[in-house]
Amino acid sequence: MADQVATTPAFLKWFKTKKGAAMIEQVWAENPIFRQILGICSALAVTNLLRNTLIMCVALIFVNVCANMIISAIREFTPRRTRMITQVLIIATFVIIVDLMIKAFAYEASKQMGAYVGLIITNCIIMGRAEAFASKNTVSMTFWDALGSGLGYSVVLIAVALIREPLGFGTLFGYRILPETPIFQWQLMVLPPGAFICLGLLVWIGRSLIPEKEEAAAP
Amino acid sequence: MKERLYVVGFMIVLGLVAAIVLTAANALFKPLYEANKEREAKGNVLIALGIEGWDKTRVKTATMETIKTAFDEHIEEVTVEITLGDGAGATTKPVTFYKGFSAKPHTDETFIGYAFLITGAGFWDRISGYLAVDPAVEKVIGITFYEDNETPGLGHKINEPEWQRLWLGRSIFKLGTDKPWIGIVPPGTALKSNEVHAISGATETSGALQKFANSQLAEFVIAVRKHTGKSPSE
Repeated sequence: MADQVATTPAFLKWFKTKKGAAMIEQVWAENPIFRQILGICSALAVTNLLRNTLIMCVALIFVNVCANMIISAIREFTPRRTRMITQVLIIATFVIIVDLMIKAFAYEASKQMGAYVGLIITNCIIMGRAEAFASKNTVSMTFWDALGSGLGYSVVLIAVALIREPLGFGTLFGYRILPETPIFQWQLMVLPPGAFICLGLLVWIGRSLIPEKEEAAAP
Repeated sequence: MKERLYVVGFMIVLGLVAAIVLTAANALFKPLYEANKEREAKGNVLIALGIEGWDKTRVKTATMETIKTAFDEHIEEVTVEITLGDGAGATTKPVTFYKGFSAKPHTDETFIGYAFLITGAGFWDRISGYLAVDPAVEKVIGITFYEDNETPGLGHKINEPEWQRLWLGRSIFKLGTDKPWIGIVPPGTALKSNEVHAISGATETSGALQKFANSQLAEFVIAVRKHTGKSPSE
């Protein structure tokens, strides 16, 4: 055992700490999309272009981390009865800020993403982590948990976009990688049903790779 | 009782904090957003009129200053009050259009044509763009869109240069009449001088576009005739 610890690099050891484990669990074993099938509305909507997908992921991580840290910070003062409305109010505030920022600094993308940035408010990942984690844990633990669930969401979205953009438009990040012929512009991949198929396949692969653990305990 | 007051107080304080934060964010970012919108609108007037050197890519990357300078050099904005209907039911309405010039000074020699906003409900969401016509107000010289949320690969193809080229040189009047009308007809049908082929598979988008573009075209024709003082026979 001692030998093993000695050969583990320092940055890997961090993942064994409580904070690191909380984050990694959200990215992999409890991945919000693979394991919990949460937040797939935006996963279907914005993943036909990689650039929009990245903006969406950054926006979600920002809202998830900021809102949950504040929810965690005021958890001692929050009356139990108005817990949910408090969470929604804080989440909505950050979403509106993000929406304004995208409109100001990434105007083209904001036009393509339309309502989906605003819909982060109802993203179940944020609501779910707020209720299940942030309202019960310290601010620093919440930071790692929120970062992890945001990253877990992002990993899957980027994977879907990496399939959809080349097959749908023949481009990657807006750069043409496949010849501009109808064969490489697969309409299905551009439209939401293409995302359903990609996501379904990814969830299937993901679930078969992630070791089952709590599934048996679930009713 | 005390606990209830605490709940109310907590929510009021939280609401106030959120309101202050949002007001600040709005004050900070709204001007940038408005500037983006203005930049895009001005840039698309340049594109519709075919001002040399201006295309979609340049408008997206150019700074506000560059677009403003080009706009001032090439474009004159005109607003005309027009009267719609007659008798007691008549209403007035301001109509704005843009006169494009290839260079300064703005003379008849450098005059390229007129552009005006076409906007309305598309199949999914609002469509906005500019339609440009020649100085004689007879033919289309350009069309561009800067806002739409139509189905990718179908209605969204209104943005494709191949389709927009179909509009060039089409008459804006029904043949032999004085009625402004550009028909968007199903692909494959024989074209009259004032018609273009629709995008196949995008019937709804084409129908919506035909509806609002023609209503704004009619208003523009009234406005531009009032502006130039010319009736169609002259």
